Amino acid sequence: MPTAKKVAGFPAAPVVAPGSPAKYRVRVRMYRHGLGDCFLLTFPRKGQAPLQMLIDCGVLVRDKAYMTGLVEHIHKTVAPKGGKARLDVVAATHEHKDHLSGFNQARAVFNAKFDFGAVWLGWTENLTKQEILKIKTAKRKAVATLRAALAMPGIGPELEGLEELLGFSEDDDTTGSGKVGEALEYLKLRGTDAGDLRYLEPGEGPLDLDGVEGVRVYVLGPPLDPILLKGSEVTEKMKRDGVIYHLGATGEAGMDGLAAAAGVGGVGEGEKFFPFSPEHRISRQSPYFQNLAEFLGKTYDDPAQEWRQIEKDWLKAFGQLALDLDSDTNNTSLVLAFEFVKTGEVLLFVGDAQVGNWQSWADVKFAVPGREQPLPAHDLLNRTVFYKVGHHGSHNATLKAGGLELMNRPGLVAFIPLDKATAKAQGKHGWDMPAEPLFHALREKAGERVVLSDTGEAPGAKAKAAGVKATAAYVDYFLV
Amino acid sequence: MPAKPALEPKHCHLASQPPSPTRRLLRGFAFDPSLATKLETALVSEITYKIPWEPGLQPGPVGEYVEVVDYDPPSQCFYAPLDLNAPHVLAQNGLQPSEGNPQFHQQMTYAVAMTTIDRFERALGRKAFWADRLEIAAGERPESRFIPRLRIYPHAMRMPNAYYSRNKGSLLFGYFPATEDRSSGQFPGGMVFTCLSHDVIAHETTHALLDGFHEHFMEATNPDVLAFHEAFSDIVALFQHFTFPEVLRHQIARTRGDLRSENLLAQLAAQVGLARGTHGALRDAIGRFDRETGRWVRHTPDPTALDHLTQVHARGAILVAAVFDAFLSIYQDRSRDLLRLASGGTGVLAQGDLHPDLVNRLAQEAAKAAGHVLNMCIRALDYCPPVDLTFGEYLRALVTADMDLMQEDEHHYRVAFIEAFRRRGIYPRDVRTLSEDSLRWARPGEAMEGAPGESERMLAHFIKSIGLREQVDRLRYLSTREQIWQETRKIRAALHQAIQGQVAKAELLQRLTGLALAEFQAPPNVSVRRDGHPVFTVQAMREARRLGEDGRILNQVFITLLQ
Repeated sequence: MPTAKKVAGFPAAPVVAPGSPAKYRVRVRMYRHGLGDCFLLTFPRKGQAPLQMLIDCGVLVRDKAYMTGLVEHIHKTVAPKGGKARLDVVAATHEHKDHLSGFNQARAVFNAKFDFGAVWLGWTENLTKQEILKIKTAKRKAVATLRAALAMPGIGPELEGLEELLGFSEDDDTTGSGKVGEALEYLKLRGTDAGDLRYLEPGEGPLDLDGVEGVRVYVLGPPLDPILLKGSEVTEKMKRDGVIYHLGATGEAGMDGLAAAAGVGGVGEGEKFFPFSPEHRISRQSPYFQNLAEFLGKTYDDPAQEWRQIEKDWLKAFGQLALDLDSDTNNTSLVLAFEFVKTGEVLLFVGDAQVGNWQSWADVKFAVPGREQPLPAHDLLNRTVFYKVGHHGSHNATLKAGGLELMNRPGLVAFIPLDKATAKAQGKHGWDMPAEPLFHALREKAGERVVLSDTGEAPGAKAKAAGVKATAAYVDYFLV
Repeated sequence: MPAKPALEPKHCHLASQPPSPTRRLLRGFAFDPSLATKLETALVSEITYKIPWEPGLQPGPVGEYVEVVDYDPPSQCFYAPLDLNAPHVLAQNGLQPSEGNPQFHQQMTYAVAMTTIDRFERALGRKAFWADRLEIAAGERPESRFIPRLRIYPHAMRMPNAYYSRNKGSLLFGYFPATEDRSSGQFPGGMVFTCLSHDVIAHETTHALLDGFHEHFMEATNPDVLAFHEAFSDIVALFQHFTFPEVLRHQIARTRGDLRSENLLAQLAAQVGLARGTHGALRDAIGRFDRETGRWVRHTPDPTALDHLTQVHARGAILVAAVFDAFLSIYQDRSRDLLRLASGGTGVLAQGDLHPDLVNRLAQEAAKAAGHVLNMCIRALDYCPPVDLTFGEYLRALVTADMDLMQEDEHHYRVAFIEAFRRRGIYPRDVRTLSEDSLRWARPGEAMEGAPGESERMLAHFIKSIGLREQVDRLRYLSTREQIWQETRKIRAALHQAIQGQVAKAELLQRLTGLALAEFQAPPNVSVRRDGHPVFTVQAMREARRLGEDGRILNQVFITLLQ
């Protein structure tokens, strides 16, 4: 994974940003640690320490020391007087490195210096359910196979572009990130220890935050409908190749076939993927090949018709598979909305939810105490005053109709956790983050109140007026 | 004495020679191999395809329209090409259907692809062509090349997938092991071949035919365009089911003539669907498998569905359902008298099996209705705009095409179509009412422009002056597709010249054709050549000779201008 810039360590920064208001209803802290999500929400409580909630802690390109520095900073923020810091709720949105790596890289700090009150995960992380375990196992196997195939001479180049996609799901020991799945396992363990591990389903809630008055938490995603859970689209490349794909995405079967070809299946595994018994197969080395030479000379091997050869075509679909794997995982994002009951203001955290996840909210409703009609999730979108932009501002992670268009509160603030340089350094052409049309649409809604975590981009004057304070290490949003 | 001249061996004794055949008979699976494994359907699982006899058919098979090249890249091997003219093969109507014999797979893809092409050609009344290949040599203008044959790779990849690739001028079929889920009823892990499914082959071949017909239908300029590609391919595959008499009779007997209940005819790619673990056929025009109840349930038309469905297959399914619904209404209308005859006038059949005679007659009506519906659907292509098609415009094309050919709508086909489309919320955007007359594309002169009769006169003069009749006549006596292709290209160039010359002079004609042709007067979004003339192309020139209901022959020429 290419590194965009070398930063020695986590920058020194005060735990309270200069100019912070003394009184507020919530502080949302977005760390400026690179391409990845790490959010600390602080809700003051009457007569006790504020409630602290951590949503994700991960990064794509940072080493262990840096992330340890970050987590130490969280500790200082939560427990300025030293001693153990209590995170009342730790929520992990989905199984990607840029959201979870910190729980591996700074495991020691989390172990030694933090108490967890509760752990919240999406229902899709509940591996005690057989069907979920099956999906996860298949995904892991697919990632391993694609890795192996990339390393093969002759195949690797055809799978170009795949490398970057695998980056999110990849298990990486060079930066101490370890296995992404292990971060989740760790969180589950901590949740079980704390006696409060929850797998949340859409429509659940509203949940209360212990001791915080007048705030309700709603769960919007991940969707229960398996089709919406798989919400990826037709890619540009498929259109460019003039190919119309059929019968849906590549299945496990294709994976097994690739595994056999890449030689990562078990010994003798390969044979079962051949469609016909050996006597039917005529390779170019076979003595019977000369019988075919004339026929092939007029067809497959005809130099004038070389453009019709299909040597590598079967591999192309695997790029799509990698993309599917990636966006499927994004779509399992836990989506949370925090409502301030008295004013109706809503903070929206969508993880990296993609199209399908967003679409599913149209049918999500909540039974709210004291309300006759169930509350539609879209009503919450409508009252959003703070939006954590999904997937670092990529083109397919903020739905326009049924999404951004519904957010009509004046003064909307949008936070994008994104380091532009890192995004640009990914892949051959760099990632399009923030995607221009989306950024434009965001600016139309939120104006200068669109704030990037990128340290090169200082929040504008209007953002500051709306309660945004910045230091070198983080950006704070205050709802006063 | 000079010796008697020896009889040249070439002069054979004609009187004793059989006439050359018109059809080749080839055995194959009716739908796919899954029918053979169920006792209920085993009897009808195999059928004999009757395809046009190709005189110069080579091993492959390699014919006039398609060439089967059986290369399997993941396995790094070839499978020997099948010679359909070998005596042992000819004598037995081709090879015995078998999943384990690659040569039979070649036969199956060839048979179904040719059946589909034949269906297409007969409906259109002319030869089918594949999409041209655009060759771009360095420093030269791109050159269109004639592609005589579509290539078919029956075993191109290891995945539950099949596709048409324009860039390769090929159909690629995949194979994959069936799901390990035992409840699917498939042999877990058994190899499933998409190239053995009639529906998949017909579907992909139709993609290729449609692409050869309307090259811009693969550009997603609105949500309907790609969905139409899918839907149209499904429609062709579906209605070809009704040309299998054995299966048709079997299914009519099983459903007691009610094709609105669950039946194989309305389902696509049953085996592929089951093997992927979806508990049902890949697509079903009239219903679906409900996971919660574990039962098959009929679709209910939802007039708002098009507003929120964007995925191409899901959107296409709505058009397929609409067309199939129109077919079912037509079939019901055509068979009502039979049911009354068979039920003593009540129209309510007694319980139990139907009489085989009634089954036969119902099957005939279904086959006839299906044939007509498919014809209508294919012919409508001639009346579709060349770019940016919407479902609503397709409905207008359907109605116009049918009104041109069948002035009397004896069996209310058009009403059935309009009703079925309306129930699914498929409307053209710019018509006042949903009547036949307002759906029909407007004829020149209907718009009140110029003096009465002026536009007709101008159009007649225009057609005469561009020499359309002479141009088209040149096509009449050409026999090979390559000659027709070459000649058509010349005619298109000549037409371009003639139109440029004629229309630029007449402002009314410009308005009639909608083209902007005058020098230095192009609207801002039309590109202009260096000499100041706005660019336009003669996209296509097609002629068709079709037999109307009343026995009249309708000669038509379709010219597509694109600017």
